Amino acid sequence: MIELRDVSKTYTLDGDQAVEAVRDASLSVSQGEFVIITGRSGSGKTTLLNLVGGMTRPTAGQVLIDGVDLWQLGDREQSRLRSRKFGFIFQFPSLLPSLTVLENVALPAMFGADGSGQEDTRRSQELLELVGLAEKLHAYPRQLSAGQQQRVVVARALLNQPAILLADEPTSDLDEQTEHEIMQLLRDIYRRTAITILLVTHTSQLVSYGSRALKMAAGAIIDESA
Amino acid sequence: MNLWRLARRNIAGSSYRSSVVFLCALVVAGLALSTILIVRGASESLRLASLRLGADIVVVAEGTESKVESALLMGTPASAALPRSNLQKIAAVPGVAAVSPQLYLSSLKNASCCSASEMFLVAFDPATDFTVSPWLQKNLGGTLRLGEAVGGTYVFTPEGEQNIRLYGYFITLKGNLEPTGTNLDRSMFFTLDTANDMARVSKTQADQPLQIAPDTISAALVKLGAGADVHDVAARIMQAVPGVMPIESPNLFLAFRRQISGLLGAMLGILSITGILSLVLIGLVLSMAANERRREMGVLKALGATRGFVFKVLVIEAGLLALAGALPGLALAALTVYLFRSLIIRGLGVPFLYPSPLQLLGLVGACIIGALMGVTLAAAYPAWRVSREDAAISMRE
Amino acid sequence: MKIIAVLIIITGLLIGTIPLFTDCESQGRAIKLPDGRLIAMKCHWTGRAELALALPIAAVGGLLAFSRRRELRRNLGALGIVLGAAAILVPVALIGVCASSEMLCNSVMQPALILLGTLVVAFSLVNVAWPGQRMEQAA
Repeated sequence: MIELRDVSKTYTLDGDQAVEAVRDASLSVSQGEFVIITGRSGSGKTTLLNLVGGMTRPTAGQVLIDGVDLWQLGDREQSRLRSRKFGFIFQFPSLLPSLTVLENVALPAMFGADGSGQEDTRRSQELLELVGLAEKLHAYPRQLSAGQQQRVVVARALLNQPAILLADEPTSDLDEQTEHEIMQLLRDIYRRTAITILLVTHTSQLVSYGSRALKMAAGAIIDESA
Repeated sequence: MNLWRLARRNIAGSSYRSSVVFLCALVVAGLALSTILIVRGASESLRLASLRLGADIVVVAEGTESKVESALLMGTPASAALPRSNLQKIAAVPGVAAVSPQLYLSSLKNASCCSASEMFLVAFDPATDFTVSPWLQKNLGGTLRLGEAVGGTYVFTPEGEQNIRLYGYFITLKGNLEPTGTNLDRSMFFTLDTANDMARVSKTQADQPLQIAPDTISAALVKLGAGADVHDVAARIMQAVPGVMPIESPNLFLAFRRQISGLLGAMLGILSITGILSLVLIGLVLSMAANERRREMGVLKALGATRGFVFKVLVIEAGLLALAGALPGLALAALTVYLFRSLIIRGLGVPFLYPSPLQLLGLVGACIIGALMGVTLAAAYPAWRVSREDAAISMRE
Repeated sequence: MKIIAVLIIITGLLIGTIPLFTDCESQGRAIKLPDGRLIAMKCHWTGRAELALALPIAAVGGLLAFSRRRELRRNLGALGIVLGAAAILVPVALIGVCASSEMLCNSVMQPALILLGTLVVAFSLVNVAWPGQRMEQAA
């Protein structure tokens, strides 16, 4: 489903200083896998995730999603693929502050869904019920706790029924209990659907939630275990 | 949710940024319309006044040009005398098709015998006149009789009375001419016979008698024949008739035209500086906003937004703010100029005519387009920059 | 919304004070009666009426600045519209000003009062149409 072939990513900082965030990474992820990627800060985990999601262009190598080279597509096709294939959960608060919870969850429908507005609203409500926030439909993000906001992000990520969920340190800003709740939620979703999940974390204790673990260091994948 | 709704929600959610762009658009749009209304109003007024006089050349006594022009445009009392015998000499000049005399008078100031104080009065010869007579023919079916007059748009018979009293003489107002925005709107037009009759009655009925020097006129209005050159004829008149100054129609009210040009220059200068500063400020604010919202735009891209979508949402937000600010600014400007038009005339010393509703709508439309173009231009570069950026880089802090 | 409230207060104060400097009495003009007494012209009484309207207009602005309830803000907005309309009607129809365009009350006072009255109506309309939804939902 997901294939990285000798992918590298080098960032050029101010002053022409080059930083190789990912080095010759090759990876293959099959449908239905729950991959946990661990490593220290600066190991390239987030960049690897961004490369998989087409959020940044690789300096070298290929990123294939269901056999399609992501960077052979134009901006429009790539955006369309991203909205239909992927769901994203970010580390930082990523809800749009000027929209309500319901509007935030329904936002991906603007780009990917073929359904009507009513269907999108119905599905958004269902997803909010799934994540336990049915009573917060018309609240604004600033009225929710960090944990609640992350649940809304999970609901948003699932709106277009993506095949792949990419989660970048989704629990790093949360307390232990809330972290456990979010991970439990993700595991429940994984078990219920055939969704493929790639989750990045610096917490090695979370490895047990996945079906496969990868370790990164200095931009390279150094350890793989199923 | 769609692009437009998202833009509107984003505006509502960022009141500080939105207010700055809104206020800048309000001020610039309002200032632009005020400038256009005043300058256009003054120019249009001059044009209509020239048309009202209807003459290709206005011949006055040498040295009285500015006095006569001021009297016609601004109502400044003036005395100007030209020998009536000059009419024949002017008529004899090749190229002259018609000559008609006019006599300029003024009612008394705060006198009990005059129901209008310091009103500008124009006496014409109905046999030769070609300025007011076409209107009289069209609207009244003929010329004015003894004791009858037509007035500018602001002339009216006092409430409860049948006539207007001037120098103790009763005048019947037969109709009102279209507005010009000049003192001609507060003037009365009657025949020379009525003027002489008024002078006769004023000897016994008025606080001060109306003095009309025999065989003098204030100005001779000249109509050219087909194909005649106005410079040529004006030069010939100067040669043939000593002591006169022929004012060619395009040069009529030249002092006022120059004043308006000066005014235009000053106002355009102020407008340009304000406009540029506002656009710079708007550009800065929108640039800051685009920078602050890079992460948000990165998230939108992650959700499937194309670069074009990100660009559009930022530009549309700016455009909506421009519109939201421009509309009240324009309404305020239109209302303020309308309400204070008397003050504008007195303060600036130029005539002024407010545009018709349709013309006003056109000017407002042009200002709205200008505001939209300016603000979206200011928003375009920061929006383009953010839209081209890698989503991953946008989301990094 | 607080900004709108402050603008209403300022506009109200201007409505009350502008006539003090622009009516004929401030310019030293009055009507002289046959017995020699001097009485104020109607523009002076217009100014007095505007002063009486200025106080409730400023009060509406003050109340709007501190009220948090939607219904109250709407009602205050409606009241503001009525007061603003009255501020326009007094110099235009109810009492009026001197007829000559050369008088300061005609060329400055009347247009200023009409403009300010219009602004009060406009600001109040904003409060009626958008009485601060977010404030209410957050509460």
